[in-house]
Amino acid sequence: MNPQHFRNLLLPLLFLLGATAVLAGPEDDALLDRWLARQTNVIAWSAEFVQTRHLKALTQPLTTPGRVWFVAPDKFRWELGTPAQSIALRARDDLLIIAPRLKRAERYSLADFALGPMKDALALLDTGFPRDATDFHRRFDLLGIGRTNATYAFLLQPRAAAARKLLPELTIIIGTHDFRLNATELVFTDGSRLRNDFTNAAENQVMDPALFAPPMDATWKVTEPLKPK
Amino acid sequence: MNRRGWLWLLCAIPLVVGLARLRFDADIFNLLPSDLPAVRGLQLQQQNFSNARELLVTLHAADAEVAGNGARAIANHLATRTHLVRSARWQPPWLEQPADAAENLAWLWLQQPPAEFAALATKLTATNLTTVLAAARETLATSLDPQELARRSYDPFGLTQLPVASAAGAGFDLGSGIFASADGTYRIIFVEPARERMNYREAGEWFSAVRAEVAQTVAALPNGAPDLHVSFTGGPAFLSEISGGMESDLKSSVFTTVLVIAGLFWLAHRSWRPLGWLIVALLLTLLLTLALGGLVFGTLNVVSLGFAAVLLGLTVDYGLVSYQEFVAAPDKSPAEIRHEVAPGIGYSAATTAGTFLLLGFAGLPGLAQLGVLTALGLLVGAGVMLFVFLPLVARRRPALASGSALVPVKKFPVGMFPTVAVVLAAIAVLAGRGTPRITASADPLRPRSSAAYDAMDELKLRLGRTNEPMWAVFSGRDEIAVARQLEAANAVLAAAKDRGEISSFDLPAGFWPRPDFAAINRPAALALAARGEEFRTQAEAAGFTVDALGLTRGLLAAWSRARLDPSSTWPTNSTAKWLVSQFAARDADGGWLALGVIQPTGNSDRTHAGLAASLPAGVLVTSWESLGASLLGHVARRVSLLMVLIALVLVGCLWLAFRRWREVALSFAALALSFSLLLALMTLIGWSWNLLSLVALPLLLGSSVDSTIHVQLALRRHGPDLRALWGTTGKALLLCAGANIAGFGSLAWSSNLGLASLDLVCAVGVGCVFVVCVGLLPAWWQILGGGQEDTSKPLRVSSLYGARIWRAGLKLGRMFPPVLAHGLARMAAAVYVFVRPSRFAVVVENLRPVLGDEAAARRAARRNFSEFARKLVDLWRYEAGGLSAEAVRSGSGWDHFAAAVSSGSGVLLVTPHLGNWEFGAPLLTRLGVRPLVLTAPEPGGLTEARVAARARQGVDTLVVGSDPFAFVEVIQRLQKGGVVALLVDRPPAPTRVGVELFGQPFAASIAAAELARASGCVVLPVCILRDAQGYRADALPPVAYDRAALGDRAARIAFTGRILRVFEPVIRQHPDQWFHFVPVWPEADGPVVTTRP
Repeated sequence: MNPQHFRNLLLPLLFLLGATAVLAGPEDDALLDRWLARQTNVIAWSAEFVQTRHLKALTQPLTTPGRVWFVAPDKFRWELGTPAQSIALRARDDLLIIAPRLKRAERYSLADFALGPMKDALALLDTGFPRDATDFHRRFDLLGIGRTNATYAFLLQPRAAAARKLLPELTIIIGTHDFRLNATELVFTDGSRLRNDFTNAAENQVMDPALFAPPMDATWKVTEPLKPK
Repeated sequence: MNRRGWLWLLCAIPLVVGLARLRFDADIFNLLPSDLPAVRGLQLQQQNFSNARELLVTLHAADAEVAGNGARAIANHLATRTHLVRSARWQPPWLEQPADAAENLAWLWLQQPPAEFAALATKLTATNLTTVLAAARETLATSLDPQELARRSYDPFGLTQLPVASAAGAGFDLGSGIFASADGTYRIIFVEPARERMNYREAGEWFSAVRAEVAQTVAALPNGAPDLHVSFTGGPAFLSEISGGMESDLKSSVFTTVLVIAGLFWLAHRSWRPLGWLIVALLLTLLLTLALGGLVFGTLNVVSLGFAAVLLGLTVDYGLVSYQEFVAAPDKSPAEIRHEVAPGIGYSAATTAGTFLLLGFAGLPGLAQLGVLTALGLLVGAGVMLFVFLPLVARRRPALASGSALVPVKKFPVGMFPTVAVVLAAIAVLAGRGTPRITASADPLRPRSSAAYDAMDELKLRLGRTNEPMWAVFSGRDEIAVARQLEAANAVLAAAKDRGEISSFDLPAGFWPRPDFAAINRPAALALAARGEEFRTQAEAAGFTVDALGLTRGLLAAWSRARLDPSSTWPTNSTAKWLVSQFAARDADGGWLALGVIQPTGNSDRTHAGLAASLPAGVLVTSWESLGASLLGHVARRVSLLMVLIALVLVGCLWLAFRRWREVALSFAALALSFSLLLALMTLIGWSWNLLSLVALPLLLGSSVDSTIHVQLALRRHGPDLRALWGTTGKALLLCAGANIAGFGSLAWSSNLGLASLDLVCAVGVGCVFVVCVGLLPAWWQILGGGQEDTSKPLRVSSLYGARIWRAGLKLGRMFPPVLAHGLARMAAAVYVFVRPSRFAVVVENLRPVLGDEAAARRAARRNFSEFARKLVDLWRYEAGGLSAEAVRSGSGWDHFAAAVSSGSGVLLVTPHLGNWEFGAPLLTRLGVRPLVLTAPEPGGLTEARVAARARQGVDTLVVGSDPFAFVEVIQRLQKGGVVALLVDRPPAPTRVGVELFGQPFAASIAAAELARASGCVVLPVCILRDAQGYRADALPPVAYDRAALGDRAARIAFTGRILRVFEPVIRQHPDQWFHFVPVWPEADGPVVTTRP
């Protein structure tokens, strides 16, 4: 994987979390419309997952278990590893990338991303769930739908050229019978791939607000890498 | 060629040399004090580091791809124009040369502290490799940090985890913050000029050429890229814009001033001819001053060229005052008019020039240069107006100015009411609203409207740089010395950051070479390099691909190469070269400079002061924002001294000009009120002082001093006739003020904010000065009794005639060879004639009855001063032992002396103040006679000095004062056959009687007649005069008398007259050696020659 293509790796991951919640429709635009109609009722979502990273630097893929929590409109917590080695946490206008074992965190103000290559993806995060097909189609081209008995796989391409340079392709896989998210897969320019397979998903359950509270205290080292000097 | 022709040629040579040497530059740093750390730091930053020399071409488009393609195309095109451009970069060099990263990383590791390198070697021992690789896989599986993922994918051994170095140094910071905005729609191309240094004209031409190339490239883009906006900023753009604007402003100012002068002159005089000569004289003054400037400085700054406007404004005063006097008295010759106006113009020029010269003490080299140029120009201008312009315009009678639009006022303001009104108004404003504040910002150095500054502001906005950065400049004799400074500064800045005083700082510590560390680390690096195969095997076993080991391979190879060239201090690849050029440079002495960037949080001035005090010695902290405050502080420390010096010079010059404390005080009062009025108006308008507008102060000071001298000397000439004052000097000053206001006012719309504010303040200030000096000062002068003041010529001897000057003269006689001493003395005499025209007038008056002709008297008077200077030098040399007594030779008539001596009746040698009478003593000594000299008391301790000096030459002195018994000794000496010498003209009051000389009443000493009556001595007239061969002593026939008849006082007075008249032919033949510098002819209503009843 070329280093530059990793620069904003995290953001597409986060984008997909929001975007997949949108794509619940069974067939093309009609499926999307149906999913959107259903999506308005989803105010909280959590799941376990296994993340598989097919990196060009490695001969074999790396797999890591994790958990994810989401509350509309804009809170999420993403844990990778058991126990958690890395946590991505969005609270209010900050995105925190946390390394609990090292007691280190990086803080990103969402304003820092506002003009970046992933502006379109971030717009989804900023505004919560896209509620209509028009908004979705403004950002993505639907290249096709892969169908199996159990799943629909939406093959998407970012419309923005800058985003396309980073992430030429992404796929969202949902169940045909319940419109629930099964998996996401990102394909990077150098051919590296990253796939999340979700299990034990739960919708609209009450979540502990502490999940979305930053865990840092004075003993932690917090940096802001993108803060203008 | 005659002598005068050679003289002109001799004068022309330095002027031609000066013009040939003349160069112009627009480097702002040449105007500022280089010993000021803030200035020195900025100068080093601007002159030595490539980012300050680079032109920044910025591109903005709605679509990032359009901006990126445009940037690439322009950079590639410019890179082909090698005659213009050394390099053009549109993206970080490590993206173009990724392979350089491994070499840079290897180099960086070698520069680390040995303990850090040892830790790396320990981490990579064979037994630890499995653990290291497992940790890398863990990171790749779980990290959410994109940079970490990118790094570890291609760095399984953690070789990029440098202890100190910045990621940018190794090539892993992708530099989007330097070359592009986050969204990619804004791009920056860094263009380095092919030439290392360019002056402002070359920079302007280069900038135009690059703009044309860029425009050509943009036009060739697909579809012309219509929404691609291109701007230019950076050093060359600023230099071209600022200097071009200033030069244009100054040219337009000079042009406007000349134009306005022409217009006003036409309105006043309706005559083109004198106007043409006036403009020629002004241009000649400018040319001569530029030549002198070239001779003195070689290179003039374009800002210093502001002297031109100041000079024109002040010099035109001299021309207009002269011309106005000529118009008022067209029957007078140019010499007579010059005689009238020269004192005013001379003192005005000298005072103003002295004031401008003192600007050198303000601590600003640019201001000092402007001051020297203006001072030179004023003196040149005064000479040109008096000796070139005046004779030229006076060739023809002036045209009647009946059509003049500037008619004299019907009613001149008299009385104190206007003054009281103005003073009260000024006090009310200043007390109510305060004085104008001083702003320390460097904004006055900025153009008012600047595409380059706008582009820079946009760049900061788009790249999220809200604060103006501060620069830290490090210097040392070698890399290690600089590295130690960087280490020490790092600790200080880290502490400042912790305290919240700065938000961040970037020092090149991580990319700075440490040859000492590298020498220690090299063996361990070579050992690691030798284990390349082991690393590969272990990494592949841990699941890493061959591609993932590219960086490791490159780094180990670079360490292997280090064996071949252990002396290599800096990395040599193109990426590293570009990086190094951003923060490292060699100074002029071969040492090293490093550049760091500091981002302040709040008050930049306070932060600057704090850091400057706490950073290690030799580290210069600077920024454009703190420059203004630093300069003001620098100048403020000198203001007190400057003001004292200016006040002293003003007092001295004004005293020389007026010789009356009351008029000196009036000048100061006019200055004070003019400045108070200016301050009040500035407060009302809402203006503040800034770095450039403060320059107006000395300029206005010069202008107001100029006006007070012109007005008060004119008041002396015209007395209570204020309308006459207005019709001459007042009208001339109105023309000058109008021209100056228009000239300065024309720059109110200058492209430079500071220049505009300076000129607005000057325009208003000149108006205030005119109102006070012409409108109010005459009334003060009259009310304080100026019109009744005695304006007669000096009646006393010069205050210079004293023991101190005499002692200095004796030193001069010892130190300098005769030719040089004579030359210096004659020069001093010429200067004295210039600065004391009233004394010159006295000598002319004294000689007029002798020669019967004014012109001849003036010529003789001029020679008289020169001869007196020579006589003094010869006397000093004689008394100092430098001139032999043999220099005086016996002339005619000494047989009379021999006969008189042999008669045994005593000899009374009488002589007027003619020639070098003191030289009679050595002659008499040579003849074996010890004479007694009768003298009046001299001022200031000179009597004792002279008595001692004569005694050393074998001459006795008797000081004849108020002691009535003094003459008893003299009579006894004569009765014993002795020789006594006596000066018979300009006697002390007790012996003064009225006689007739050259048909005029004259005061002479009756002492000779009294001594003759008392002793029966021989009265022998003698004189010692200088001719081409030296000094010659002549004795005239004795003056016969009837001793018995001298019992009658009238007979004694008549005898005294006869003695005096013996000298008439000699004085007429040598008027230039008849030395009287106080009036000798009593005026009709003046002091009367007294006779004892």
